[in-house]
Amino acid sequence: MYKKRVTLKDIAQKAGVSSTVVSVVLNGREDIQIAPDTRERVHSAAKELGYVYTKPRRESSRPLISFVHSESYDQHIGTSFFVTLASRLRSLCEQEGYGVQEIECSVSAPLPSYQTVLSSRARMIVSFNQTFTELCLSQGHDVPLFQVQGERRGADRCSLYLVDDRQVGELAALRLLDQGRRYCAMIFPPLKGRCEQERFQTFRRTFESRKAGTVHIEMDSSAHKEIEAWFRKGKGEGFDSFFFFSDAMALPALRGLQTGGRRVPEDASVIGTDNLYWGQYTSPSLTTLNLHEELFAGRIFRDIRSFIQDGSFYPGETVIRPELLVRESG
Amino acid sequence: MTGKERIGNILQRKPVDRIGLYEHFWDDTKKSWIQKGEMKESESYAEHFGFDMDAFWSFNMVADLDKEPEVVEETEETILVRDGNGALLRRHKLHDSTPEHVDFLVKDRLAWEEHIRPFLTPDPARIDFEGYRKVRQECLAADRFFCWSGVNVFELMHPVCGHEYMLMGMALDPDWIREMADLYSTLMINLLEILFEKEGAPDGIWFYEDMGFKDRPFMSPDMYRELIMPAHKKTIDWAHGRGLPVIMHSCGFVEPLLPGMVEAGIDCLQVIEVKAGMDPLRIHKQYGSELSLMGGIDVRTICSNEKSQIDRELEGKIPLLKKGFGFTLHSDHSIPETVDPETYRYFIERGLELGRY
Repeated sequence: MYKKRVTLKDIAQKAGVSSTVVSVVLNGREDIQIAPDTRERVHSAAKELGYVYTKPRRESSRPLISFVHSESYDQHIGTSFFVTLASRLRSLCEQEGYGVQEIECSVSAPLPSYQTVLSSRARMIVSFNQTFTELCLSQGHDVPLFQVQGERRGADRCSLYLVDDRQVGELAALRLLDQGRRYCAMIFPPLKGRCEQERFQTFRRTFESRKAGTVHIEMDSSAHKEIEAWFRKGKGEGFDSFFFFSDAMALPALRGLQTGGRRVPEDASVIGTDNLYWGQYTSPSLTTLNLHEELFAGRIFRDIRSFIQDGSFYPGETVIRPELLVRESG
Repeated sequence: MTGKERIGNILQRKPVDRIGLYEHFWDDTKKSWIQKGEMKESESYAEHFGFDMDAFWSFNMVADLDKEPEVVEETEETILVRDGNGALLRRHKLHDSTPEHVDFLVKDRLAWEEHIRPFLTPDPARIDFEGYRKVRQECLAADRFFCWSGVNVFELMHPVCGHEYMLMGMALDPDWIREMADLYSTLMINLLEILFEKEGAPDGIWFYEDMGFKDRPFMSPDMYRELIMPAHKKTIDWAHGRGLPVIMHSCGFVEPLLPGMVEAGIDCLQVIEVKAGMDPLRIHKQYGSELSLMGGIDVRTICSNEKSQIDRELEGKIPLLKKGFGFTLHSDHSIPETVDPETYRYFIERGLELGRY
């Protein structure tokens, strides 16, 4: 007689736990903390349902690396930094014969992604998502973790790769000062994170050190229509320069300025940040900060390979300096 | 009503429980009143007399901020100083007074472009953030109406080139004056944006702009419209765009300029100097529906320290000025040290009694 195959879900239901917990217990993983009575409950449920234990598969000789991204809207619309970096890093890993698993992790509900990474038994995680990193750190996850951008918290337990955001602010400010600009609007989202704060504060400090003034115009980084309308309506009329948190905010502003009757760079200079691909094709082309994704990818790859070859993993901070890309807008 | 509500309504000529209350004093007055035991050093007039509003002067608009005033001559009574605008001014050391204009580095456009214009940047060092924050918080805690206060373009230009060269410029090189006014208005807006972004907005804006002397304004109404009004309108429009009403102070006789000032958008005229020829009743009759008034009570009657004179002045004006809900009690200039604290108290009590609705 045909007997229905017992699944992890059946056992999870009977034991009153999640499928992930069942998987961890039945695969004998001791590196993840699960209470002994829960483990016992899972084994009893499996036995009662007639679950047939299979020999764990041999771990693939091909090391697997999880890339954990933020939501795709931010990845594709908000910035090209993470996508470009991930693409270059993936190529390097694959050329070396490493497997890459890419996961999109919701900032509001990161747990399912965390469980997926756990069950994949990845040897390393490259996180482009601060929420995911914090979840890993809070869970005592012991797989080497490489975090790109985000906060400095956890630098003792993971490898951090940061843009030198202070340098971003300083280079932009010096460029505008060199052009004789003296009153700049900084179009930034709310200053919640390290990246926003460091860029903003260094720009302000540098610009104001030469007797010039700055004002923070707070706008959501994805409010492209509002940004375009703000400039089109002439709201930025008194300013002779604009520094944007990202190119994705600068591009609608360029259009708004021009449709509103202001000439760039004759009437006002515009500088963005992160060298979005399309910035080179706008008219005028957008002056921006190149954050050097290829340097990030090379550095992270070197550390990944080091761990795979000899098990060395050194938590700490790597800061990569940006470069000013002078184009037509400022 | 709180002071904040009351002044907010008065500036829009909306119903209130009584007329508003505010005052200016010469510096020597506080020293004298402290000696007489009326006030403490740490107290503000607003706290002490329960004013409905207060204001703070936040900007240093001298061109070269780094220049230490250079003492050119000093006697026992006076000191002659070259300031960061290149102006040579003689001041009395022993008492408050308007400084004597001895000479100015800037006498024409060329000198202005060379010596002043390059310095006029929106440098945050021009702003007293801490002082603004302190008075704003005090007003917030006491429910007083809080004004940012400072001079507008007319009062920014003459410290650079003096009244005479400025007025000659109006006649002989009007483009220079127009450009100067425009640049100062832009600079002021830039600094206001910087201040308000960092510290939060006030409840209103107070511009000091002395455009008259005894019986005459400094310029014709046409010159005002052509050279000064565009800059006034620009700064007032900016304030209104942020929901901030504008009070404009002018000493001297400025009634001929009033049509232009009202057109530029002022919400309230202060100080209505009777001894210069201003008549608050005439102005109220003519502009009362579109303009609030503050002042116009002849300070000479208060200086007399005679209750009967004060009564006569207040009784003859307040019942009429309070009509339309747009009046705030204030002398027609500032209270000098010769006024007894008792007299000033009487002035307030009697004025507010007459000013009840």
